[in-house]
Amino acid sequence: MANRDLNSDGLLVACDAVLREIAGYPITSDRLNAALPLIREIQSAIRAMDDVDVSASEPMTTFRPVT
Amino acid sequence: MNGAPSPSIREARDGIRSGALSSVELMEACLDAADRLDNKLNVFVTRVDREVLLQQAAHIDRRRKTGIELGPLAGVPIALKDIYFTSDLPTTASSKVLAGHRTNEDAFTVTKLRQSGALIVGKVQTHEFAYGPTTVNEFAGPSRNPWNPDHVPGGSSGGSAIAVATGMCLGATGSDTGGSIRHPSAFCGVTGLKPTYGLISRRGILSLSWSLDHAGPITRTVEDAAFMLQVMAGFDPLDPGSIEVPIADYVAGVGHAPGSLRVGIPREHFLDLVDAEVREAFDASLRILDGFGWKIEEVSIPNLRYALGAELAILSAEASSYHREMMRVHADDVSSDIRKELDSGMVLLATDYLLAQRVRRIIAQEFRAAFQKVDVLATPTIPIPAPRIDQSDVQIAGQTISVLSAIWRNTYPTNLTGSPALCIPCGFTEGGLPISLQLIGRNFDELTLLQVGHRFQLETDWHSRTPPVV
Repeated sequence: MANRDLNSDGLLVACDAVLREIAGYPITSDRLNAALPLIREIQSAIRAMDDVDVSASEPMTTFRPVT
Repeated sequence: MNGAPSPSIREARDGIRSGALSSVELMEACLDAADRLDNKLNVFVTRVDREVLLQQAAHIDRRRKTGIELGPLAGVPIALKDIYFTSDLPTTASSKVLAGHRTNEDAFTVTKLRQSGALIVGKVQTHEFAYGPTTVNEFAGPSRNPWNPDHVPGGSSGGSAIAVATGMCLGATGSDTGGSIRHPSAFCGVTGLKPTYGLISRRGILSLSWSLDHAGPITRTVEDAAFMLQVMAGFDPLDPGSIEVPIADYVAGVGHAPGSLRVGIPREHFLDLVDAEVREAFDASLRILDGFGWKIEEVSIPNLRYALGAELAILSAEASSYHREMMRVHADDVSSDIRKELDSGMVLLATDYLLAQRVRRIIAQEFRAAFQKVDVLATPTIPIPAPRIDQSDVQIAGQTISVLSAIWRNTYPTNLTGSPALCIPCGFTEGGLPISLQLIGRNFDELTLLQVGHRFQLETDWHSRTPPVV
């Protein structure tokens, strides 16, 4: 896949900034470009959860099956 | 053996104890199957030396003759997914990164299997780092479906299911984070059990996603799954996810099917996108369950449509966290598909991870509510038969979706809830590929699932058929 210009794609710019500036995670632009379609797919599925009313639900951070 | 490629664990166990079958004979048959088919199907990463295994088998036979008590799996050849740590063999996760990697210790479950008298025949292929549903690996090469080598065996525990289906062993271990025990079991025509989260220790098993990982057995029959579960289950204080619950007598109980049972068919998600031949086999399975006098009824789990987002957020974040240090050093040695997955998980928001864990609780509560109305849920295990190795998309009901999305669609919801799920063969396509029925139970009620599955297998012979390659 040809590399997209970092300035032309908002998600690419955001991911690049998060990984380099915040996470300190070394990644090449080739790798980021390769991962971008999957990142979009995951983000799309995650944003669908915004429709759920979670106001009464605590996160299952210490996971135990509900019995 | 009913035309099956090997005796069942029950048959082998009874035969070895009575002297009708020697452990050496059994081991030779399994080793011969591996000699014939391993290269063709790409099953083993590491095999234990033939002479060593035959000596171990001879030791079992000598113990029997001298009247020394045998363990529950004495002399039974078992294969281990190559993410289970072993003191005597490398653990590579089918990855170049871990080639030759030794842990010098056994996983908790491997210790239990060895103590039961099981003979470990080797380590079998997984999708790299257990992160994928096909066992098509860039580094290790594709593993192949024994029913048609042009098709995938499913994954990530692909080697385990192939080994069982072709008689290279009588049982194998698997792990399941989004369906990785059930996919290969379904595609290879064998039985797979993902037990309740916390019932089997994960200590000494390479993690993919701490809160979604489950360990479990892959066997030819449901009764054999009961034998392996009996050995593998049990509290482990050194596994933070292990839960101390009474362990049922699965082996003694598996043959006692309930007289009355309510079987729930989820109204949402599981039947929305299903291949026509799979649907036909599923409906036929329901008629068999109905024929037992069990009640079939619809149930609702309304928030299932959000399960994909929850699974992806949790899996991606936990896997990328687990492999973070490895990726800093060895990213170039990781296969490109896995590298994409691990890079993608690095850009998730913490708030989205927690949103997923909140949605997860809601879905788990909806499962609990459903199980107040029914005793088990029934669904197709996978909406499609095994795709070709080079296939990327599939058409279902006029829709084109990716093969990867289709394969795990009906399995990942129970990784979120931790529910036990059993998959059993329930038919074949016209092209000769296996089709599988999934039964989902109440948390820690594996016994009912095993009873239902065993009753089904007494009525059918899908699990007794031998792949043509054998």
